[in-house]
Amino acid sequence: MIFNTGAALLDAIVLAVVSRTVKGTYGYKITQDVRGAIEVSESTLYPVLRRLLKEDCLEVYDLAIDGRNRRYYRITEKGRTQLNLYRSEWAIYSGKISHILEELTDEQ
Amino acid sequence: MNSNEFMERVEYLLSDIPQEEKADAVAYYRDYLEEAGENAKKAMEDFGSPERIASIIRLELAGNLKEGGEFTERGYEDERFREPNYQVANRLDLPEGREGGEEEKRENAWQQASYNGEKAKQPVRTSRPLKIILWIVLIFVSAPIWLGAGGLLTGILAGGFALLLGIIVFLGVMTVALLLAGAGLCVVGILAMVRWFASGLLLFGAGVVVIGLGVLSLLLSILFYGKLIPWMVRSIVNGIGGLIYGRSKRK
Repeated sequence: MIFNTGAALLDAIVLAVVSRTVKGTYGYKITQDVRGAIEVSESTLYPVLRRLLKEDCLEVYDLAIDGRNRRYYRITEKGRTQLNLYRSEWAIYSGKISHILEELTDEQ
Repeated sequence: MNSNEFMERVEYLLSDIPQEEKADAVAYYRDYLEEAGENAKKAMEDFGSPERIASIIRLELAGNLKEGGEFTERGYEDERFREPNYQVANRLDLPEGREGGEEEKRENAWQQASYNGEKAKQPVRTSRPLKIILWIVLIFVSAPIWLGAGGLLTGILAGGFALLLGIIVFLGVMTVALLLAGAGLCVVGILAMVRWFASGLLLFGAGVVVIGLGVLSLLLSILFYGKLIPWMVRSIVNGIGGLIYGRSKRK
């Protein structure tokens, strides 16, 4: 991909990925899912998740899996509000970009 | 390096940050590598190095990540996390990609800068008073050395100096004495001629000879005081001066 992904868009993608399961999801899975959409390095998401936690957009809880704790991330109410804002903004933004990039020869 | 060693290194590098923050961050990356399972090796390669991970955690704690990093098409990028051998693929789809990466351009710029710098060759900042003071300090500090080991040399120098002083005094005194003695002999000779003409004439002649010697001595003195001594003083002064300003003058 040759277009830059801004911090806000990355936040939106992470929030969207986490919001897909009610139970929440864990670091490795979030990274792999995000990598399905954009190219991020495996080390990228810790600072992002931490920031979203600090902003109360995400919450964490530990769940014992195979005899050890796995840290799950779950979206909060505030996070959901934020995600909806991102969604509507993205719809407008991507719509405009798509519109302008479409090959329109005669503009009437 | 296996994932355990990797994370131990990260933990060690973060020894000084608050315990809770460190535990959180280390747990995240440790879990990540464990979840990765077979892909842990690839994930570690992507992590770069324990140092890189540690600096990401550290900068995030300091709140520096908001301004510093950028999410680009190549993932998260931050100059500070780029290791010397951190490869960034050239973008062959864009014009600038074909002319060598940013890295190379920066290196060229750097080489250019250093070349220019060498060409300009800024003069070294020196100060004469400071140099003189430093020399005086050096002489005093090193006194025990040159007083001891250089004692003989000092003695020889002092002896030579005394000899020179002796010659200076002797030459002056001799000239004056010869002239006075010659004049005296001439006067005595003329007076004596009245009574004993032959003896008086002899005395007068001797006086003339002594005056002649005195004049010779005077000429020698003029040569010595007028030329040799100024030359020696100049040599000594230049020698000391050269010792102090030597480097700057040699240019």
